[in-house]
Formats: sequence, structure tokens, C-alpha cells
Amino acid sequence: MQAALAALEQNYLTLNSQVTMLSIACTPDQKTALVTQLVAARAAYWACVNKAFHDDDPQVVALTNQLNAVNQQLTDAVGQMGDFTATLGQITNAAAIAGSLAALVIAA
Amino acid sequence: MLNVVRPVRRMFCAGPLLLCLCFPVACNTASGAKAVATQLAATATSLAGYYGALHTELVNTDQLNTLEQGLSGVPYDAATRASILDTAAEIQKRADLANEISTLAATLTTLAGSTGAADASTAAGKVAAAAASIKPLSATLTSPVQAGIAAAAQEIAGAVLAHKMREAAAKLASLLDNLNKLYTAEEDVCTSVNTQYVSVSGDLSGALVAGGQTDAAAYTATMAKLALAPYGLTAKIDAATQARIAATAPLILQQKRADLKASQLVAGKAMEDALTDIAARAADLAAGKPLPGGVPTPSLTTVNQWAATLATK
Repeated sequence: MQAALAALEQNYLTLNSQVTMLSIACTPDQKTALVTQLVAARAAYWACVNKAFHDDDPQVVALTNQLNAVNQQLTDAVGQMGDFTATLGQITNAAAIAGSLAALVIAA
Repeated sequence: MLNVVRPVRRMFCAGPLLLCLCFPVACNTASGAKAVATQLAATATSLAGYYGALHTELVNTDQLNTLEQGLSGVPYDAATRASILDTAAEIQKRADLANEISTLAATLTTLAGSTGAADASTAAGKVAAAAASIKPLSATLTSPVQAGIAAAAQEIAGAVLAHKMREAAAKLASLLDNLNKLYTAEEDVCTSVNTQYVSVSGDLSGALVAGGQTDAAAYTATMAKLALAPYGLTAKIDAATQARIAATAPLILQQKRADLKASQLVAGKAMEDALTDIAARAADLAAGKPLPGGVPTPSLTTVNQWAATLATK
């Protein structure tokens, strides 16, 4: 699988697997924000499954690296169950990067 | 009329003879050529089942997202749904292609009667049409691959009709080489499709279990039956014990998720091995090399079993 798609998949899977646990500890507004980011991550992944990226595009490479880094931070943050507001900020950042990356996909 | 039909009949009446003609250089034994065609028919049928199961997973993923919307309030947007269904349609095209290749192989295996060449030509034409309709699912799949399948199939059709069987054998090898490339290039995407299905279904199941929305009595009975049934015993479990057994559901769910991911990977690897093997055998036949004697063909059991589990869902 292309690195970019793998990063988008990991982003969505991480959020999807953690959203239930995170939902328990958040306010209704925070939950709405959380679900919004989950939907964005899922949309970014599925928008790219049957398409392709230019692997040699520096922008694709940079965003993929950023998303991989944020995915790892997100996994760590959720595992530690620390400051929810900060975690939500990381989730929002990850979804934004995923959206930017998905925007670079090309029709195969 | 009879003067035209009789020679054709003579050519296609004897299956082994024609198979020998199909793979002339390597035809030190007609049974070897027939074995390759038979193996191809079985391999392509399994490939169709494999893709069919992935198609089922995608269709189910679509429905599970709708369920998640109702259960957890996660909106299921139209664009994502369209992407999932578009991917499902593409996977179905591969299943159709595999089915057409299986039909072509079966036709080559059982060439008999005056319509044998026409049947093979028709089947090859359907392979070409199915291949031409495919859009790549992966950046590593280049258009020459699916175009190569279509071209090889068309050339098989033409060669069979012209009784140029050596050429037909070479083009069959080309078709299988390209089919192998198609499968390999998209294998990771297929695994990703399975991962999505298992994750979404597993997460929803976990939510239903955690919310007390599953039948604890039925689960307990099923689990207890595993221990009791071999001894002819029937469960009669009190509420407290039932609660303790029901508490194991998340663990069983976790194990099942891991099994579902692992079984697809095993099936996918077995499918890859089978395609690589048949492509190599076809290439050897086309090159006039002898088939390796006594070498068993790769097992398709795990592929068929995995596909069957999805077919029942």
C-alpha cells in the first residue's frame, strides 16, 4: 500500500477505535467535535482507497510524514488519557492533515 | 457444408489431441497441458470467490456505517458512501474477470465438438471485455497490466479460431502474468478493505456488548455448549454464572477480530502463491519446458474457506 494511504488508514483506525472511550469523558460539545473529526478521517481514507498518490510529490511526502507523526502522538495521548482538550486538538490537527493529504490524491 | 464441418470436427473432437495442439511445444504429455488448464480453472474460481468476499465486506461496511449512524450518531456522508460503493463495484469487476478466466480455462480444457473453438473464442472475448472495464485500485498498477490482460485474451481468441495453438498458449501465459501483476499490485488495498470491515464491525459489536445490547443468555449457552456438547450434556446456568461467562464476550470479540484479520492475510498469501504458480507453469508450457513432475499445486483451501465465511454472512 502507498505510504500516504497507509497513514490515512492508520489515522481513521486510531480514531475509530478510541472514540468510544474518549466519548465517555467528554462534554456533548466535545463529543460533537470528536465525531466530526472521525467522519473527516473516514472520508479522507475512503476518498483515496481506489485512487493513487504521486509518491514523488514533496508535498505528499511531507504530509504523510506529518500524519504518521501525529498518529503516533495521538495513540500515545489517548493511551495516557490526559488532558482531553489537548487530545481533541491533536485529533483535529490529524484530521486536518489527513484532509490536506487526501486533497492531493489523483484519479488512478 | 459437410466439407467445412468435418475437418473442424476432427480437430476438436478429441480433447487430449486438441490440448496437445494448444500447448504444442510442451506437449510431451497432453495430460500436462490439461492439468494446467484445469488448475487455472480452479485458481480463477477461487480468485473470483476471494474478490467476491471482499465485495461482500465492502457492501457490509456500507451498511455498518449506516448502523453506526443510528447507534452512535456518527454521520455517514454521501461522498464516503459513494467511495465505498465505487470500490465495491471495482472489486466486483475483478470477480467477474476471474469468473470469465475460469470459464475460458474450462473451455480450453473441454474443447470438443464443432463449437469448441467458437466457445473458447467467445470466452476469451468476455475476458478481454472484463479486463478492459477495470480501473486500477493502486498506484503500482499501471494501465499496461489490465490492457495486457485484455490484449492477451483477444489474441487467444484469434489464435484459437485460426488454430494457431502455439500462439494461444503463449498468450495464455501472458494473460496469467498480467493477472498475477494485477493481483499483487492491489493486494495491500484488499487487505486494507478487510481491515476496515473487521474494525468497523468489531467496534460496533464491542459497543453493543458494552451497552448490554446483546443476548447474554444465548452467548452463555453457545459458550457452555462448546464444553458440554461432546459429552451429551445440556447447559442449565444460573444468573450469576451467566453474568460471569457473559463478561468474557469482549475477550472473545478481540480474539475473533484478530482471527478475521489473520485469516484474510493467510488467504491472500495463498491466492498469491497459487497465481504465481499457475503463471509460472503456463510460461513453462509456452516456452516448451517440461512441467515439473510430482510438484503439487498450491492449496486453495484457505482461500475458499475464507471466502465461504463471508458468503454466509
